[in-house]
Amino acid sequence: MKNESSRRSFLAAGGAIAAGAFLAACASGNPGSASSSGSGSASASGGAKGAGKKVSITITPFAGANLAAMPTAFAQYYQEKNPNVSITLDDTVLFTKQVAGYKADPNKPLTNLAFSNSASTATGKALGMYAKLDYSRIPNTADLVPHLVEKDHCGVALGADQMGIVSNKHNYPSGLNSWSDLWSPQQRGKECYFTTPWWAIGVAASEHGGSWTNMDPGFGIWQQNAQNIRTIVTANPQFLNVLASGEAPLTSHYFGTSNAWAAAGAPLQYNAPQEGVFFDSISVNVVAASSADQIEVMYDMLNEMLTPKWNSMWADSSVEVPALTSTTLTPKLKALPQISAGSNQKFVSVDWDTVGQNLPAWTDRWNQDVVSKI
Amino acid sequence: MTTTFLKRSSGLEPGAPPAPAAPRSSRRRTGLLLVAPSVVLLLAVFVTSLETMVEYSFQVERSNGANVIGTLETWRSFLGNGYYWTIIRQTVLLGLITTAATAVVGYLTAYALFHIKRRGWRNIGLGVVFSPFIFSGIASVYAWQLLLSQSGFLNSMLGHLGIGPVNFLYERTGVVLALVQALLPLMVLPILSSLNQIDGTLGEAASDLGAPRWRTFVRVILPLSAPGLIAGCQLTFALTISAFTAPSLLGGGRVATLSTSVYNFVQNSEFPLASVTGLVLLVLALVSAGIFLLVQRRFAEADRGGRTFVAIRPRGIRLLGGWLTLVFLFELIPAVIVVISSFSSVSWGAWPPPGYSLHWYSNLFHQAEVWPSFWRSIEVAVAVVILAVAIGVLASIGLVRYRFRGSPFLQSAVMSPLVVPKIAFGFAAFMLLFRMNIASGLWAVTLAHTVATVPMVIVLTTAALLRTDRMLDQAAVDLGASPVQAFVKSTLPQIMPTIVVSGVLCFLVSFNEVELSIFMLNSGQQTLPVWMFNYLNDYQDPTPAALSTLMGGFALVLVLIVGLILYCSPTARGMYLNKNKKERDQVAVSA
Repeated sequence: MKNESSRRSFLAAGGAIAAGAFLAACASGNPGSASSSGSGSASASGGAKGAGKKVSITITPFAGANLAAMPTAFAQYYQEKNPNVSITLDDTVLFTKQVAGYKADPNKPLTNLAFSNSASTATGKALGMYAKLDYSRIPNTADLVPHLVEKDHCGVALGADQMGIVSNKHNYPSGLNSWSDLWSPQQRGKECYFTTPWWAIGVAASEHGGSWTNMDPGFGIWQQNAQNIRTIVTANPQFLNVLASGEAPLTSHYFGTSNAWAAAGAPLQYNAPQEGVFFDSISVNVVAASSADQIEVMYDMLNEMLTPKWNSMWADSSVEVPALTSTTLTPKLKALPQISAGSNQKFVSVDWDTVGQNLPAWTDRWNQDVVSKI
Repeated sequence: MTTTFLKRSSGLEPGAPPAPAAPRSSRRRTGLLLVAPSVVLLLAVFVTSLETMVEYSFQVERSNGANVIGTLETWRSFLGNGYYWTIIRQTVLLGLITTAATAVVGYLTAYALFHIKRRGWRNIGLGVVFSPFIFSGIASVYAWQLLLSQSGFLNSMLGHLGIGPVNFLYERTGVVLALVQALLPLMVLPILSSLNQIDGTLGEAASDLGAPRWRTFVRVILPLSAPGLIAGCQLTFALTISAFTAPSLLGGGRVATLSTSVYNFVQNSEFPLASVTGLVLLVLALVSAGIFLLVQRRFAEADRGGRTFVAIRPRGIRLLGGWLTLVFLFELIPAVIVVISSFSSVSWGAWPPPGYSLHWYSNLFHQAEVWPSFWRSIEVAVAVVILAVAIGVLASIGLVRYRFRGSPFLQSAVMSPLVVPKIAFGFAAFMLLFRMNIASGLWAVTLAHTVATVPMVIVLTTAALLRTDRMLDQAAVDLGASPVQAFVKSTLPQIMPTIVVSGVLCFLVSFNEVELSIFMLNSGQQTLPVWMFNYLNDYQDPTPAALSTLMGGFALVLVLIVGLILYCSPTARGMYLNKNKKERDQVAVSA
C-alpha cells in the first residue's frame, strides 16, 4: 500500500500538470498543512509540540437521533477546560471512509477519535487502524462493567445496545421470542434485513453444530430459508417503512433504534430472544496513526468521558446500558427493562476477533448464497 | 423554394461533397484542439481516478488486513465466479429492457409533443416530461416505494377491482418502471430535436406521391429521426447499467447489478473487488457506446452536411392526446406522492398519510446546515454548467465537424464517465486526491460533476449538430466570413436551444448529485443533496420530502425562467422550432 507505482505516479503527475494552476491553488488546503481544518485537522497538528501550539483532535461521532449530543457537549466542555486543544466534530468520516483513507495512506488519519460499534471496532482492530490502549493511563477504566471491557483494550466502551427481534405489532401481536423463528418456514416472505445479519447466521451455526469459526451450518440454514426474506433494504427510512407498513414486518435489529421508532409512533416492538441477546458495546476508538501529542490528549479525554457525568449523558441520549458501574440511570432509562437489567441479561457469546476478520467474507457469502435466492 | 435558392447560390446540390476545405492535417489539428479540453479534463480527473481503480484491482486483501499487491487473484475470483457472471447478465438485461421500454414510450411521447399545435401547451408538456429532473432522485425512488408497495397507491387501486395485492415492489418490474420514468426526458429530448430537424417537404412529397400516413412515418420520419432515437437509447442504456438508486432501493436484493455490487463492495471495504466490478462495468459501457456509435453513423448526415429546410407543420395530436395524458400521470405521480408525504403527520412512509401536518417543514427550517448547503449546491451547479457546456460544445463540434482518425475512439472515451457508477468514480477520486495529498472539497466535486455531465452535453449537442446545415457555414465563408464568424452566425443559432437545454440539464444533475460527492465532502462542506442523504440515514422522517418539495419548486421556477428565455429568443423561435405559417414565411424570406 505504501509503495507508489511509477505508472500511477506518472499519470497522477500528468493529471496534476493538466489541471495546472487550479489544482495547485486548491492544494493549499492540503491535509498536511497546519492551517487546515476538517479532515485535515486530524494530522495537522502532528508537529504541534512546544508551547503555544494547539493540539487539534477530530472526533467522529455517530449522527442521528440524539447520538451527537454528548460528543458535542463534551467537546465544548473540554476545549473550555483545555484552551490548547482544538476539537472538530465531523460525522461524515464514517467507517467506510475511515478504512478507505487508511488504505490510501495509513499514516494520514481522517479522524482521531471514532465512535464505533463492536463490529467496526473489531474490523478496525484487525486492520491495525484502531490503537490498543494502555488502560493504566485511563484510570477510570477500572470502573468499567467487566463484560464491556474489550479484551485487547482496543478503545473504551461508553455503553451497550443490544440486538434482538423487531416486529410489527399488527402482524405479530405477541412478538417472536426465538432466534430460530427467523429461519422458520412459517415466516416466508416476511423478513427484511439492512446489513448482513452475521449474528443471526452465527446463532443458526451454533444451533446446528457450527461455531464462529465454522459458519457453514448457519449459512446452510439461511440458504434453505432464503425465501423468508421479502427484501433487503439499503437505507434507514426504507427499513422503517417496510417494517411499519407490514410489507416485511420482521427483522433483527437494535433495541435502541427500534425503541426510537416505536416512540415516534411506528407500530413496532422489540423482543429479547430466549437464547440471549447480542450485546453490542459502543466504544470510542483512538486512530493509531494520530500524533504523540494527539494520543496524549486523547488519553485524557477518554478518562474524562469515563466519568459518571458524561457516561450518564451518553447512556441517556443513546438509550444504552452505561459502561460504568458507578453511572446512575436516568428515570427514562430505568423504565426500560432492557436497560435497567444492565448486563444481568442472557446474551450470546461472540468471538469479536473472528467477526472482525471475517465480516467482509461473510458479507460476500451472504450476498451470493442467500440474497441471490430470495 | 428558399432551400433551392440557397443551394444554388452556394453552388452545392443535395448530397454533394463538402466544399473544398482546409487540408486534412489542418482539419485534424482543429478537431483535436476543440476536443482537447474534454480530453484534458478526462485525463486530469477521470483517467487518473480510474488508474487508482486499476491499481486496486490488482490487489487482494487478506482477512488480517494485509494487502497483496500486483496479483490477478481478484480478477480471477471475479471472472471465475458464476455469481458475478449472473450479475453481468442481469445488468445487461436490465439495460436492454429499460432502453426498449423507454424508447417506445419516449418516441410516442416525443412524436405527440411535436405535433401539439399550440407552443404554450407543448412547453407545458415538455415541463411535465422533464419533471423527474426537478425532483431529487432519492425522493422519487422513495415515492415509488409508496406507490408500488403492497399497501401502496397502485395496489389500493387494484384492490377496488378485487385484484391483488400484487408484488410490484422489490422485483425487476418496479426498477424498470422507476428507471423509465426517470430517464424518459433523456429519450424524449434528442428525439424531439431530431423531429424538429426533419425537412417537412419530404413528408409532403411522400404524401403527394400517394404514400399513406403510416408509410410516410415508417419510410421517412422514422429513419430521419433515428439519430435522436439512437442518442436517447445510448444515454438510457448507459445510465441504466450504471444506475444505483433504483435497483438498490426498489430491487430489494432481487435486482443485483454491477453498480449495486460496486456499492456493496465499497461499503464492505472490499476495494479491490469494487474496482474490478467498476472496471468491468466500464468495459461493458465502452463496448455498448461503440455499438451505438456505429449505428448512429448509418443515419448521420455530417459528412454531407445537413439541409436547410422548412420544418414539418404540427398536425395536432388527436388520439395521441390520451397517450400524453397517461405519460403525464406516469411522470407526475411520484412528485405528487413526495409533496403529499411531506405533509404527513407520521414519521414513516404510511400511505395514505394518517393525518397532515407542517411539522416536517418546521423541522427543516430548524436545520442549521440547510441554507449553507443550498448555496454550496448552487455554486457548484453554476460552475458545472459553465465548464460542462463550454467543454462539451467544443468537443461536439470537433467530433462532428472535424472528424479525424481516432475521433470515434475519443468520442467513446469522453462518454465513459457517464457509465462508471458514480459511487465508484467518487471513491476513486477521493482515494486519488488523498494519496496526492490534495484536500478534497467543493472544487473537487465541481470537477467531478463536470466530468460526469460533459458526456450529456456532447450527446445532445452532437445529435443537434449532425443535422445542422453546413452549407450555410460554407456559404458564409464564400461570402467572406471567417470560419468562426460563420459558425457563430449560422450554426450556433441552430444549436442554441440544445445548448440551453444541456445547461439546464447539467445544473439539475449537479444540483441533485449525491453518490459522486459523498466521499469528497466533509462536515461543513456538504451540498444540499449530500446533507439530505446524511439526514435520511440519521433520522427517519419526511423532512427530506419537505426539502424535495421546496427544491422542486425552486427547480420549477428555474425551468420556467429558461422556458421564458427560450420563448423570447428569436433563434429558438426560428427555423428549428415549429412555426406557424407566418413564422415559416418569415424564415423563407430571411433565408
